Amino acid sequence: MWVVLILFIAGIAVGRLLSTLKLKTGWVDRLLFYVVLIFLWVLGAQAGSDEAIINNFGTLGLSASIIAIAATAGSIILVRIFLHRKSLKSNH
Amino acid sequence: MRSIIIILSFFALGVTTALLVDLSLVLNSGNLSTWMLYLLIFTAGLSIGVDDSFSKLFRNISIPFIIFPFIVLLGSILGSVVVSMIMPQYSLSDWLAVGSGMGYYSLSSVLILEARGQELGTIALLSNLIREIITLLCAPFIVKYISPLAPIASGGATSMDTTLPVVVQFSGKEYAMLSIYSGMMLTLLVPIMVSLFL
Repeated sequence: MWVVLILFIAGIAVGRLLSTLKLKTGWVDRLLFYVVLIFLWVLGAQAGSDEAIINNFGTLGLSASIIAIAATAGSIILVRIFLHRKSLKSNH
Repeated sequence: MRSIIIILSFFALGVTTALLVDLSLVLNSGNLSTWMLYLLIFTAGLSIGVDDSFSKLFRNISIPFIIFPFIVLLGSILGSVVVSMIMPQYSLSDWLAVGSGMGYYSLSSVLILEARGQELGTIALLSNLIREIITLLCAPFIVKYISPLAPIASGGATSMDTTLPVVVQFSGKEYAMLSIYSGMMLTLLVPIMVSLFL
């Protein structure tokens, strides 16, 4: 997984460079959007080609919902316990 | 909400295509998902790098402000630990990797897909999309009954972009800076945390 972290940092560095050199950067978010769309299609196609996934889609969806609700609730509860809203407002 | 519909329809389109046509040759040629991961992660880094607002954010520095995203992350980790105790069909590290995706569906699901296969990858994608949907749909209620900070915590990594509009609308403009900062920090932390747990 080192390759992943190195590529991520390299991406940020190239992005900073583009920004510092005042080159056009508007295309980056559009590129990311299309990459994500292709990626989602591939992910869907891989899931659709996998019989075990298709046959258990309901179970997988249920597991996904449970972990999503638990992780989200955990974040909300911990913030509610430890952080006070007044100290976190900003005026600009 | 529009982007969620686009995202779900592209995923559904992929599933439908695979059900209608045999794509196994195309999908198994080379390491398609590995190259997708590399392209995606580099582009994601690029988009963070070109965004100038990150350096400006550190102007209103305070300890609660700085630690906010870390508390959000810790909360999701604790939530995942609870799930691992009631649903032992996946290991603790599996649940931690999925739960620490923080709504960053594309990156976390492709990392998990690479390391743990199709089944957990699909769960990661769906659960992170569900987190974003929960935030968008529940924002007005959790602001009213819990705290204006709740939708920022709930949005996780998405609080800097896709769920920022509901934070601004229901928590208030005064929380926009926190929302952007927290989302950006979590976006940086997601690939690190997910890889750590895998």
